[in-house]
Amino acid sequence: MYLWKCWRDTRVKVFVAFGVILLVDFFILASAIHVQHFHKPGRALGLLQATFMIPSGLLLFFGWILSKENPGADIGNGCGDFLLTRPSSRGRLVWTGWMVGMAESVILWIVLSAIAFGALLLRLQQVGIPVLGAPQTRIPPGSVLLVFAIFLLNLGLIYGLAYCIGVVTRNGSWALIGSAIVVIGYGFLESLLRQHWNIHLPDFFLPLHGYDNGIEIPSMLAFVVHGCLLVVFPAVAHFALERMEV
Amino acid sequence: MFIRVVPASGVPLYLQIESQLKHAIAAGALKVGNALLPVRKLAAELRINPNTVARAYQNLERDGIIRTIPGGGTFVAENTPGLLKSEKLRRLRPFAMQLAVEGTQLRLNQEDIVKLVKEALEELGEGK
Amino acid sequence: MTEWAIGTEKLSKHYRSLQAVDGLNMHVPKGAVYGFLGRNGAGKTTTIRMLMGLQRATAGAASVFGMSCMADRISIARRVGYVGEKKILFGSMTGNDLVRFNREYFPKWSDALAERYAKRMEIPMDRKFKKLSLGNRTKLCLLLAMAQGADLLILDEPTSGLDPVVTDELLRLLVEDFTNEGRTIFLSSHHLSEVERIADWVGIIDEGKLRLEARLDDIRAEYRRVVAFGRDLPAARSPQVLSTVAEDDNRTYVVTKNVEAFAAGLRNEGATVLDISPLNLGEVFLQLVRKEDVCISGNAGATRA
Repeated sequence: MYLWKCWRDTRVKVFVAFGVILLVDFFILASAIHVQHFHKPGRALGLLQATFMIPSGLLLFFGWILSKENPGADIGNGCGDFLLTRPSSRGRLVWTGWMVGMAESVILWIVLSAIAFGALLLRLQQVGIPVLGAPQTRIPPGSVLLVFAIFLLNLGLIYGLAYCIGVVTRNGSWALIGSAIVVIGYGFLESLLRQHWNIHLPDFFLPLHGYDNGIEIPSMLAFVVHGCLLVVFPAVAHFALERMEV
Repeated sequence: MFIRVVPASGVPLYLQIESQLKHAIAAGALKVGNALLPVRKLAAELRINPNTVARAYQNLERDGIIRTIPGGGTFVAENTPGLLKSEKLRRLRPFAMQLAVEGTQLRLNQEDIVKLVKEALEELGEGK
Repeated sequence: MTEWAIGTEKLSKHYRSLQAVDGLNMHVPKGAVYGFLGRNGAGKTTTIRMLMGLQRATAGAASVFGMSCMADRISIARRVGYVGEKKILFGSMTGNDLVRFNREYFPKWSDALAERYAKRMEIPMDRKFKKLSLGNRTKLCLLLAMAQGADLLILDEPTSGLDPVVTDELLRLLVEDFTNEGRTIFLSSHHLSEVERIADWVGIIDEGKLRLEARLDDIRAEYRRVVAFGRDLPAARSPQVLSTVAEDDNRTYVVTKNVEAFAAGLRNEGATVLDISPLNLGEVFLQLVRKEDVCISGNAGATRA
């Protein structure tokens, strides 16, 4: 089945990403934990927030890399004759591939965040800082969910965009290049408009800012737009593949 | 089996099979009661369509040369009267004409040609 | 009304400046072994890709087992074993992986058959596809299509890249396993000798048009090549005259039936009939796809310098 194929094609990347991010997490946490800083209010909170933000950032990059595997790339490699003559709808191929990439990234996020968080808790306990009890170090569960939601929507954005470009251009490399051009190009446009005409475009990615008492919550509009884009990109890829002549 | 077909010769394959089997039977290489390969097996061996083999077998059976037992196989039949002598002669006529034309082209006389036919019949008879 | 295994109705495919397939009316009976013949670029592959839903027709319709190729692609794919022109599978998968991948799609898949074909065609099943030679790749593609339990095989140039021994083995396997129980084989080729062996029907396509569709036995039994010499020889095609080509003072006809009457007709007009001979598939093919000579006879009397 195509699901199995998608897993096979990406499993090495998954394991490598797991190892690399774990290592990075370890080094950052090991160097960042100094006992004396922890009595500053909000410091622990900030550190706790960082344990989620590091995997988030790195996994967005991972998601971008994953987009190289998509049904369009398979067609571009010459497997179109075989793949598109299996008794399976083209839509199913698109959504299965997309889902595998999203699921791998999300599961990695959950696992790595849990490990980092657990390690941090352990270390803080070792140095005698009560994390879950003290008010200044309490983490509202809501903010964990918020960080996850922001990660998910940003993942959907970059992975979906790249995946869609890959399907449409029938090329895995173009998935990466095309999406990079879009992100960088948007950044240039954004700064251009801001500097010369003082027009503020919305951020491409939902920002993840940590403050003393929580995470900045993006606007409702931003959530809705990103939520739509999450499904719009694979839907566009679906539509494109459906119409495609091979 | 010894049968060999030449698809590119322009002669229908079923005819080639028929004539080779007839020759073998006439020469005594296949005797009455000998079993022939089943249609599918012969087709697979020759790498040709089973319909072709089936057609050849059907024609031979119609002419009484072979016999099929339902579910039992195909065998060389006893020499059947089957056809009227006049019909048999009619069938042989084109071959006789061909022989006559070739012989005439080569400027052989009637005696030589008839002698040739006798020798061929004797050669076949030796096989029995 | 019996259902055709494959039927096309004025099927056409038009690219910007090129008419790749032009009003094709093709009918493949169930249980037939149909050889789809044509030169390179004649439109064979385009036709097949339309049958499998990889491309859309610009006009006309195509159906497989009565199902529309455009609308019912998936239902058709369930019943058809397909080997395309490119014969590329997932590079990082081995033969066994590909069997595992493919098997899930087809309830009638047979592992026993897959093993048998792997053995008979000598396919290395644990080597990654990207490391296989062209011949082995083709064989693997064939294995996947043949072990599927399909009612119809659609094979685009199945013997390209195969050596004579493997080709022979493939033909044998096709005859053994696919010429029974009403299963149909549709194969496109320009290797006429193979088609001539196992096909009972042929369809010849040239420049996107179907020039001939007939039983192979009829071609052998009734088609004849007539060479005539004379003035004002008829140059038109007709239901009886499939094609005609002029060369010097002679004209060659491919006559589809009643050759004696045709020859008599020519003689009545004062022409001399030089030769009447049977045709093999190759000769019919060449007669049909070579460009017709527009030279009009009537140069009798002209002398060579």
